Amino acid sequence: MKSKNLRLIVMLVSLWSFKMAEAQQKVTFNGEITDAETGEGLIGASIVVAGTTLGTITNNYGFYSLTLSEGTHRIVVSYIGYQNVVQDVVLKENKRVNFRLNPKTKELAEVVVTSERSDKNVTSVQMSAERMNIKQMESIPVLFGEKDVLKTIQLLPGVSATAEGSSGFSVRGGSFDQNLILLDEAPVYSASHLMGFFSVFNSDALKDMTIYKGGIPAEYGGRASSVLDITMKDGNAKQFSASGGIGLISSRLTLEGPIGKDERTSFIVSGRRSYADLLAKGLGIMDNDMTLYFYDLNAKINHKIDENNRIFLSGYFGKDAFGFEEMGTDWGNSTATLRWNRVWNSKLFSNTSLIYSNYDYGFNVNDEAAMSSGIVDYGLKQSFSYYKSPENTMKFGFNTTWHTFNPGELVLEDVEDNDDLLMEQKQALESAIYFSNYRKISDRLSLDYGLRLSMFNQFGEGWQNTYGINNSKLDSTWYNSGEVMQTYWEYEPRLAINYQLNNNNSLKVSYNRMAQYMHLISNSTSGQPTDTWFPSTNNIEPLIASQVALGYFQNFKDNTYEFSVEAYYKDMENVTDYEDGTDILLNEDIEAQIVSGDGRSYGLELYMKKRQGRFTGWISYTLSRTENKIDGINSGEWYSTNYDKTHDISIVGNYKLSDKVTLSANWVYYTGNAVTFPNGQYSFDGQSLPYYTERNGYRMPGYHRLDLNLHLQGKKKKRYETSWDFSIYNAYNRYNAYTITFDESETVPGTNEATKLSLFGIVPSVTWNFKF
Amino acid sequence: MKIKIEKQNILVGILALLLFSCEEVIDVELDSVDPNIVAEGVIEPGKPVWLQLSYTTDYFEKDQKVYEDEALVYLTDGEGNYDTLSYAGEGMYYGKNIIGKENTTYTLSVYEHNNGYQASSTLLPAPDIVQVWFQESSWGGMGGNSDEYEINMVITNDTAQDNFYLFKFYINDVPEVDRYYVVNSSYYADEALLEYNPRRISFEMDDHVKVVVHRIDEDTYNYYSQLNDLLESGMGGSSTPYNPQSNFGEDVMGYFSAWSYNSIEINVDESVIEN
Repeated sequence: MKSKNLRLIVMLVSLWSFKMAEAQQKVTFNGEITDAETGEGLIGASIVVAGTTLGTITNNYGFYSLTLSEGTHRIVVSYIGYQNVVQDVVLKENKRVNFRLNPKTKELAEVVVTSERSDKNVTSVQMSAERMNIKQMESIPVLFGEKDVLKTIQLLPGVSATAEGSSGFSVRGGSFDQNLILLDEAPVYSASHLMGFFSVFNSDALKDMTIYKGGIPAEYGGRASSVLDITMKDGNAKQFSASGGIGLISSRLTLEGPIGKDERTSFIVSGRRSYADLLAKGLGIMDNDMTLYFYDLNAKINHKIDENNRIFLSGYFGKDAFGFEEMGTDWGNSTATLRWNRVWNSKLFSNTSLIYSNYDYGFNVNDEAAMSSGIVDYGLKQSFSYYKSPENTMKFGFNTTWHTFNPGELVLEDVEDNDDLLMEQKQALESAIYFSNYRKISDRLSLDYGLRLSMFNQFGEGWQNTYGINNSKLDSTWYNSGEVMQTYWEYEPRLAINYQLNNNNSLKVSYNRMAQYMHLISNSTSGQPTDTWFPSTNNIEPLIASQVALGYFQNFKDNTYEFSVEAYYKDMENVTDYEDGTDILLNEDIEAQIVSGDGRSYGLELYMKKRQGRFTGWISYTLSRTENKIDGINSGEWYSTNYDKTHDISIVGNYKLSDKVTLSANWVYYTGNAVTFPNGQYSFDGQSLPYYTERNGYRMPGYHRLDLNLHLQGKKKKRYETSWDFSIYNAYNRYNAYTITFDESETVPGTNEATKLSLFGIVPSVTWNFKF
Repeated sequence: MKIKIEKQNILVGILALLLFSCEEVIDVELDSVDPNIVAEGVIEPGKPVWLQLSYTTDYFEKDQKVYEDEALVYLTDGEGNYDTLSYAGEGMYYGKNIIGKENTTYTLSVYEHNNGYQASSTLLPAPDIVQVWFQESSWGGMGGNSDEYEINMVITNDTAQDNFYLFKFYINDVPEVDRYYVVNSSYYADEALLEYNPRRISFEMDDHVKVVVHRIDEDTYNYYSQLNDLLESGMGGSSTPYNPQSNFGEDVMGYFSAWSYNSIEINVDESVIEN
C-alpha cells in the first residue's frame, strides 16, 4: 500500500517540475472583495476577465491575487446575492485594487442556494464539497425553528443525520468523530447542545461554511472522513447594528459595529440562551429544583493595521447545564483564535493563527463526588498562498497542536486513597507540513495535487501498558514528562483533476488519504457529553482512510440548474470498535478493550439543484454501504456499521411567493440504521433475557419526515426591519423510531415485546427576528 | 460514603420524556436461529448445588421452554470431593454430597451431546447488614413523585481485599428485576463499614421491603454488571447489546454462581425515614 502511494508522490513531484510556458510582461493586481454595506470580506467571490475564463476567487479572508498581461482589462467581480461590478483595470505595474460589492436590492434579489460563481460546479477542480452562505439556511425549516448549520448540511448528498433531531452527522459512512469541525480554524470537539438537538453554532455569528467530503485539500488533516470549515462574521465595519430573534426554545442577540471612525476596526458579539427549562417548569413537567439549559457566546474583533496587515481575535464560549437539587452535570466548549493576515507582496499571502480549544465535562453528586473529563488544545497554524498566475497557485504551510487529554477523573470528597479512580492524563503533539499546487494545464484540464506529512507524538508523563490474552496487563513502562512514548507519521497525498468536456460538463476525479490520530470513546451513534477523546497509543493505531471519487458535473439553462453524480470508494485501516461488555466510563484499561480492523464505504451520490429564480432547492440521493471487519466481532466477517444507510434522500424547496413571503419545505427519507436485535431468548434468574447472535444484523425502520416553513418579511422601516418564521417540524406527524427496545411484556406475562420510542411528533414553532 | 455513577444515557431518556416522546409496542420480524444451551447454577452455604439446563428459543415464542434432560453433571470442590447431580425434571439437576461452605471454590462440569462445559466460582463469607434506613428520593425533582423514598444501607466490609456484592430487593414480596445492584468496594472508602445508596430504586410509604445482600466473586460481579448492560441497552442511546460472558465459556448462556448472603426485612414508615 505504501509503495503504491510513494509512486503516486513521485508522479506528483514530476508534475510539479513541468515548466508551463509563461507569457511575457505579466502584471499582478491583488486586493480584497468586501460587502459595501458592512465591510465583511466575501469568501469565494469571483473575479474574472470579461469574456475569458481567466480569473480566480477570493480566499477565506476575502483576499485575491490575479496576474494578467500588461494592458487594460475589463474585470467582472461577482458574488451571488450581490450586484456585479464591472471595471476597467489598467495594468502597467503591480497594484492593489479593492472591490466593494453592493447587495442586490429587493427587486434584483433572488432566493439563492449557493454563494459561489454560477458555473463553479463545473469549472472548479474541487469535488465532493459544498460551500454555503449562512444566509441561505434561513429559509430551511428545522427543529424548533432554530437555524442550524449542522442540520442543514445533513440535507446534502453523502451527509446524513446520526439520529433524530441530532446535530451529529456522518459523512460517506464515517462515524461522527471522523469529522473535523473548525470554527475560525479552532477545532470544536463537541458540536452539540441539549444532547444533540441543537448545534453549538449560532448562525447569527457565522458568515460562511464549507464541507469537504472527499478530495480534501492538503491544508486540512487530522480526521478521516470530512472537514467542516466554518467562518465567523468579522463584524460590520460601517455602522452599528443589532439583530436577533425570539423563539419558543431559545433567543439570540447579535451586536456588531465599527470601533473608531476609520473603518479599520470592527467587532461582533452574539449570544444565545435556551429556556426549555422555563417552558417545562411552566408546563409542570419539571421541578423548580431542576436545571436544563444552554447558552453560548461568539465574539470577534478585527483590526486592519494597514493595507497589508490585519489581525483577528475571535472566540466562542458555550455551556450546557443539567441537574437536580442534589446532582448536576455541565459541559461545554471554548475556543479562541488569534490570526494575522499578511500580504507580503502582490502574489504572496499568509495567515498565522494561534489556536486554543477546550472541551470539558463535569458531573457532581451532592458535593460528595465530582467527575470530569475533557481535552485542551494549543495550536499554531502557518499557511501561505502564492498566486503565481491564474493557472498556477501554490499553498504550503505547517501546523502543530499540543493536545492534553483528560479521559476521566472521579474525585471523592471523603476518600483518601482514590488513585484508582483517576484515569491518567495523556499528552500528544500533532504536527503536519503540507504543500499543494493548483495547475490549469489547458482550457480543459486542471488539477490540484498536494502532499501532507503528518506526525503524532505521544509524550510522557505517563504509563505505557502492553496487554496480553484476555486483556491482562503484561508490562508497564513509566515515561517522564517530555519523553516520547509513541510516534506515528503518515504521508497523505491529495489529488483532484477536472477535465472539462465543454462549458457545461466536466469530469472530475479525486483521491485523498487522511490520518486520524485521535479516537472518541463513545457508545452512542450521535454523541454524548460524556464521550472522551483518546490519543493513538502503542495499543491504538491511527485510523487511516483512503478515498477515491469520480464525478460527472453538468450545468444547464444558463447555470440555473446544476447536476452531479459522484461515486466513491473509501478504504479504512484501524477502524475501532469495542469488545463486548466494554465499560467506557472511567476504564483504565480501555485501550485493551478497543479492537480494530478494516473498514470500507462505497456509494453513489446524485445531486440536482436549482440555483436561481422564484423556486430554488435541490434533490439529493445517496446509495451507499459501509462495513467493518474486525477480529472478535461477528466471527471476523464484514458487518454493517451503525452509520450504514443504504438509501438517503433529501428534497429541499423554497418558493418566493412575493418579496415578503417565502414558503419552504424539506422532505427526508433514509434507511434505518443497522442495529443489533435479539435472535432468541432464554430464562435466567426468573426472567427472560435476549439472546444475540449477530452485531448490527437488523435495521431500524425507514425514517421520513416533512418540514415546512413560512417566512414573512415585515415592511422595512428606516431604522429597523422585522420578520417572522412559522415552522412545522414533522408536518405529517410520523412517529419515527428513535430506539426499539426488547423486553418482557408488562401486560401479557410470559411474553416478550418490542417497544418503539419516538422522540418527536409534529412540532410547531415560531420565531420573531429583528434587525436595526 | 455513597457514590453511584449513572449511565449517561439517562440524560437522553429524561430529555425524551420532557419533550414530545411517544412509546408504542410494535411488530418486529426476528430470525429464528438454532437453539443454544443455557446453564444456570447456584451453590450457597449449607445447601447442595443446583443447575438448570435449557435452550434458547425464538424471541417472541411464548412459554415454550426446552430443557436438556440427558446431561451428565458433576461438582468438585478442590478438596477431592465429587458430587454427581441427579436429574429431577424441567431441566433441573440437584447435587447431594457436597454442601456449600465459605472460602471454597467449586467447579461444575456439564456434558451433553458430546459437548462439555466447565465453570468455577468461589463462595466467600457474607457481609452483615448493620443498618437500613430511608430518605426522600433525590430523583423526585424530575417530575417524579416526591413521596418516594430511597434506601440507605450499611454493611460490613473486609478491608483486606476488594469485595463484590450483589443486592436484591423485594418490594411487597415482588422482586425488583429491572436491574441488578452490584457493588465493587474499591469504588468506596476502604473502611470496615460500607454505605450503599442505590438511587435508582424507590419505595413508597408502608412498603414491605426485603433486602438480600450477596457476597460474590469478581467474575460473578462482572457477569451481573454485563447483565445490567443487557437490561438497559437501548435506553435512549445505541450501545451495542451483547451476551454476557458466561463462566461456562462463550458457547453457553447463563452462569454458575457460588455465593453467600444475608437478608433483612423492613417496613417503610416514619421510624426508618431520615429527614
